[in-house]
Formats: sequence, C-alpha cells, structure tokens
Amino acid sequence: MALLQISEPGMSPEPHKKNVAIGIDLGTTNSLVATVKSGTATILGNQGHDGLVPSVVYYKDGNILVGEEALKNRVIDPANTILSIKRFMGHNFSDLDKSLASPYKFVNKDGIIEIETSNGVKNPIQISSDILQYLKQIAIENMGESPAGAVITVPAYFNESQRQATKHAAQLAGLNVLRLLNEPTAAAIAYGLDTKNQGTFLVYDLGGGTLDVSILKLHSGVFEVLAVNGDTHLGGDDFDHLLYCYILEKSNLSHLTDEDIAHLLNTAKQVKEDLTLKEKVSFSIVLSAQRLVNLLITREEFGRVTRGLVNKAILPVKKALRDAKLDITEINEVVLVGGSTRMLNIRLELSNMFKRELLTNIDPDKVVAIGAAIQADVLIGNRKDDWLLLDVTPLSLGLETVGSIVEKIIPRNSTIPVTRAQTFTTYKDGQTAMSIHVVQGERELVSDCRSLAKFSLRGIPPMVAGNARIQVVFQIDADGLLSVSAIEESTGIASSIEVQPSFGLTPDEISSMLSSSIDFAQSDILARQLSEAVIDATALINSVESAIVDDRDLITDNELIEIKYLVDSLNIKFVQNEAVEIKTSAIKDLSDKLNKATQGFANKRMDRAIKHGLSGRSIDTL
Amino acid sequence: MIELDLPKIKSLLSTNYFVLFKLDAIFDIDQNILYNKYLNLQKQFHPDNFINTTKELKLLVISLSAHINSGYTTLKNPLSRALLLLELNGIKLNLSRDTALPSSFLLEQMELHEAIDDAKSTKNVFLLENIQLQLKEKEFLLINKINKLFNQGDLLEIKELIKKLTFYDRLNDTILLAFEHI
Repeated sequence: MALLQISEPGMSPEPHKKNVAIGIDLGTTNSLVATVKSGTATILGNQGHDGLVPSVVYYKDGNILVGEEALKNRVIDPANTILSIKRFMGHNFSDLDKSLASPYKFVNKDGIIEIETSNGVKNPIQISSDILQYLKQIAIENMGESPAGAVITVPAYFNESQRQATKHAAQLAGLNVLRLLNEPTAAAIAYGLDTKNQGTFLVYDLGGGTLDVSILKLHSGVFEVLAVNGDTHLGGDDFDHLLYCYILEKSNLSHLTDEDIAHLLNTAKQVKEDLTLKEKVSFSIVLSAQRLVNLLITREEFGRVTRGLVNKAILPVKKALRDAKLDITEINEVVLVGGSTRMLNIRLELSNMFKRELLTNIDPDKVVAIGAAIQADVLIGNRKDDWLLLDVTPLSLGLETVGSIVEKIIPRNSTIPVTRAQTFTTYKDGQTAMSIHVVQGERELVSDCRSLAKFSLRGIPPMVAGNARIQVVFQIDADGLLSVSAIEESTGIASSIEVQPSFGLTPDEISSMLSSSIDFAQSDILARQLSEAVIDATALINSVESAIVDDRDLITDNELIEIKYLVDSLNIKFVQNEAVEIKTSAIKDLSDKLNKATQGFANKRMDRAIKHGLSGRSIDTL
Repeated sequence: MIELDLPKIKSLLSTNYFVLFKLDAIFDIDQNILYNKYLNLQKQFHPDNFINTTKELKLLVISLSAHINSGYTTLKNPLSRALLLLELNGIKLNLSRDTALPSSFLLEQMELHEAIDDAKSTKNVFLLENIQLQLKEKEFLLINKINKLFNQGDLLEIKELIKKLTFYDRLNDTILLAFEHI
C-alpha cells in the first residue's frame, strides 16, 4: 500500500492535514458510520465487518455493550437489552403505548420516558448517545483520529422534539454536530454525485415500519427539497403480516401457539425476501402438535395478495408530487432507499409509474450514511465543489388563539430556515399578560394538534382591548429546530423561549393527524365558526359590561333589563350542549339582538366622549 | 468559507425584497432570473456556510437566510408580489374587510365552489383537474391584466383585480384540499 502512495513533488496525497468529518445514520434497527477517504465515501466497520451496527445497547453491572455483542443478550436478559430506542426519542411518558408488550421497566421522570436498567435509570437520549459513542469509537479506530465534526441523519418526518433529542444525544457523545440531515436528502446527495448533477429526484424510502417520500431538485450546485410526504404506518412488516394471513388462510390453520405465530411470521418474511430473487418459493415447516405445513407461493400470488398495500404505498408519491406542483414526467430520477424497496412489486409499480429505470446501485441500507458522510465533508470545508442544501419543514406550525383555534404560522413544506411573524392583540381591557401556546399539526383546533410548548408574555402595558399589538415570531433553523419569541410592539417588551425537547409528537400521531386533518376538515370548519361566534359574543359582552360600569347613568332601567337578559341568554347558550350549527346560529342571533339593544346606549356614550374631548379646549387648538 | 460582513447582513435584513434580490420594483419579473438570484443569495448567506461561528452571528445569518426564503416566496407568487408593489406605492389593502365585488363575479365563484363540491362528493378527479385548469386560465388572464395596469400605472384599478385574484387563490386551496379527500 505504501508503494502506491507515490506523488508528484509538492502534491502529497494529503496536501495539508484535513479535518475529517463523519456521517452517521442513526437507525431504528441498524446504525452506520461513514467518512470520505481520498474523495470517496466509505462505510467504516470493525475488523471484517460490513459496518451495519445493530442499534442495541446492553447495560449490565456497570458495563455497556453496543451492537452485535449487545444483541446476543436479547433472549437471556431482555430487560437490560435496549432495542429500537429511536422510537422513544423526544417522546412524553404519556405517548407510551401501554398496550404494546415490552420487556422494559419504563419510568415516568417529570413526564419524560426513562428506562430502568441494571446500570440505573437511562433516558432515550443517553441510550442513543451510547450508540453514537460506539460509532464514534469505530471511526477513531479506522481513521486514527477523532472526527472534527459529524452529520447525523433523522427521518424527514421527525418533529422538533425528536430532532432536539437526537442533537442532544450526539453532543452527549462528544460529537460536534455540523448538521442534522433528513435521511432521504442524504440518499439524494449520495446519488447526486454519481449522476448528471442536474434535475429533479424523487427519493422513495420504504423501511420496516415507515414510508418516507421526498422530492428534491438539484440545480447549479443547490439541492432544494420541494416536498416531503409519507406514511408512518406502512412498511415491510405490513407485507409480512399480510402474507402470514394468506398462509393461514391457504393452509387452513387455526389454534396457533405463540411460537407457531412467531415461526410463521418469520417464514412469511423469508418468503417475501426469497421472492425478490425467485419466481416461486416452496417451504415446509413443522408447527406445534406435529402439524406439517407444505406450501408453494408464487411471485404472482404475492403480488395479488399485497396489491392493496402497494396502492397505499404509492399514494404519498402522488401527494408529494402535488405538493411540489410537479408532473410525473418532470421527475428525472427515482432513488430507492430502505430494505423494503427490494420488493419487486414495489419496484415494478414505481418504474411503471415513472416510466424509467430506478436508481438502486448504492446499497439501500448504506446510502443514507454515505450521503451523510459526503455532506459532512462539505460542511467541514474539504470540498471545492461544494453545494447548498435547502430543506423543508414536514408539519405546519401554529399558535393557539382565543377559542382554541390554531393560527397557522408556518405551513408544511416551507423552505428552512424560515421566520414568520404574526401580530395578535389583547382581548380584554387592561389585559397585562398573554399566554403563547405553540402547536404542531394540520388541524384547525388546538385539541386536535400536538402541543409543543407554552410560555407567557408578561408586563403588557394596560390598554383598551384590541390596542396592544403583540408580534410573535416563529423561527425554524436549518436543522429543523424551532425557536419562538414574542414582543409587544408599542413598548418593545419581549419574551422568548427555545422549544423544550420534553414535548414531542410520535410519528404515529403525525400520520393520524395528517389523515384526520383531511377527514375532519368539514367538521373543523363548523367548529371554527362556532368558536368565532363565541369569541365575538364574549368580546361584545365584555365591552357592554365595562361600558355599563363607566356610564351607568346613560342607560334606562328598561334597556338594562333587556341587556342583562340577552347577556344571560348568551352565557347559558355558551355552555349548552347541542348541534354545532344550531348553537352557532343561536349565538349569532343573540349577539345581533344585544348589538341592537345597546345601540342607543352606545350613541349616548359617543356623544359624551366627544363633548368630553372638546371641553376645555379653545377653537384654536381644534 | 465566506467572511461575515456584519453591517452588510444587518442592512440586508431591513431591505425590501426587490432591493434584496437586486430587481427593479416592477410586476413583470422573469421567474428564471428570480430563481437564480435566490440560489445565489442562499449560496452566500445560508447558515451552512457559517458552521463555525459565534451563536450570535449564527442567529443573524439564520434570520437573513429566512428573509431571503420569504422574499423568494413573496416575489414568486403574483398575488403577494402585487400586494408588495402596492404597499411600496403607499396603497394598503384590507382584503379581509374590503370584499365588495360585482355580483356576476361572486356568482361565478359560487358556481365554481359548487362544482368543486360535486367533484369531491363523486370523487371525480378528472372533473377536479378540469376545474383547476379552468381556474389557471382565469388566473392567467387576470395576471396579464394586472401586469398591463401596472405598466400603465393605474394602481387603483389594480386593487379591484387583486381582490378577484385573492378569491382565485382561496379557490385553489379549496381544490387542493378536495384532491386530498379523493
């Protein structure tokens, strides 16, 4: 090897000591670390190993094992062998699905999930950090030095809390985080260099449990993400399960033990994988009570059985195209990522749809880490031909306003970094504080979105309702991390927060929020109309009541009785349980009546105010 | 790595979008030129260029990069571009209050809404795409008119057309929502 390193004079292979940066794919099942060595991205691995590190940590007697060694303890000591920790990153304790069987002892620490192990209580950030530390160690052993910086990949649909948690884990592992990078974007970078460096890419990432679709445009040295979409409830596991059901039906199986089910599920997975290479697969397995199952499954059968899933798996592609305002013919390359894209029916569907060959020449399990390594190399400043990455935010962000309505501030698929300001006003006379509630999701009502953070703006100078102007600014940085600040414009009083990682949305919630946003759009509109009617009516009552206090003498007793009657009726209406539409129109009707009943009173007040304003001034000053 | 020019960044943060993109403040702008200018600005000021700088400077650069993104979105869209131009000329529109339009136009709007509802309930993608195409054509004609009026300097007449454009804009959102239903 040393002989090959002959260089022209003054052109040593390492002209001057470069900074080495690494890319890390921190996956749910497996993780990888890669770096760029003499211009080529390489996966780093332990001796004789392909680099795929199971994302597993084993805690025992003060020792920490990671990867293959940790995985070996899964059966003998499941409570201390932590798998798939990525699923818990940035989640609240209340997010925990109690119905899910799990060998772990979960602990509720101030609302945050922690796991009790033989090495003490660990939170998901610490556990992920132990995996990252291990990957960093692999990098140091391979490169002979500590990396100067790292790019860590996250799923495109990860929310702020999950991104924050990932960044904290990396910092805890002693890594200098250059950037959090979306996984599909990393894949596009890995391919972008091999291809013609121009055009629009669609990245199709189908993993074990989730589907991620991203559309990117590569144009004169800029990678621009146009849209992301996905399905957090669809992956290779669903295909296994469907095939398993088909096997039960075809062999007429029932009364299965837990072992039988596990055995058959494994077989289904194996058959699915074998069918990517063979036209048909036959197998025979022995179940409990010596039951023998002999079966032949063809590719055509598998295709027929999973037809519905394939259709479902194509839907996010269409949605992403629509969000990106692109036609199918405008996609120049289709990149496949994730082990489940090895299924031939998925490949066939995509190649028929796009009428072109799919890009699969980089191993779908490794392409994300490779892209991350290349981006790390760019960010650390090692490349002359660097490019710029413009990513988007996957979910809409908003604020709670009166009546539990969400005011959307940043719509999904906005290019980041993004700043959006919105001005709000006080709702009561003399109001001095205002609480700001940041939510995430596509629905119109706060209760249907996910709460991200709450903070209050205090010391608003007392003013008449509607006179204070509070500007709230949302900012999402290039990592997809959010900060919110608020300022009262006339006084400059500011309040600011960084959104805390203890709150978060589960991917499941994102998916169900996205789909329910569509199903419920109609009822949202009705609910919104009701909410607005209540807000208007309440504001009216407030102003009438404060006017009565100020100018009681301007109102007749009869007027007062009618006004009180209408105010009481409204207050009763507010809490009455009835159909939304009926309630809305009743409130509007009563508000109109109250408006009319106070018209005379209002006119008299106006006269008095004008007289008061004029009194004591000479004509000259008018 | 680009040197940070602090005064420059601060001044760019407070400039209007036409100045930021070094474009004449006119309605008829070339989308390709706009896009290229956008990319060039981001290449200069995207926070990825300033990985190793102080937190304070980073925050400033994030704001500038966000300002550039927002400028691109505003200038790209004919409606927001027209509103910005009017504002620069001292004309502010209150689109949520001032919605008075000829009844023939409102009638047409209602018909389009009904057609979208029909397409939605019968899950007729073809029909929906057809309405979308119709709308695009109407928008195109309207934008051409607005362009002409901007050239003639007839800003008050533009106000009326912009109100119509706002209606089309909302109709577009309704169509996109309907597509998701189907």
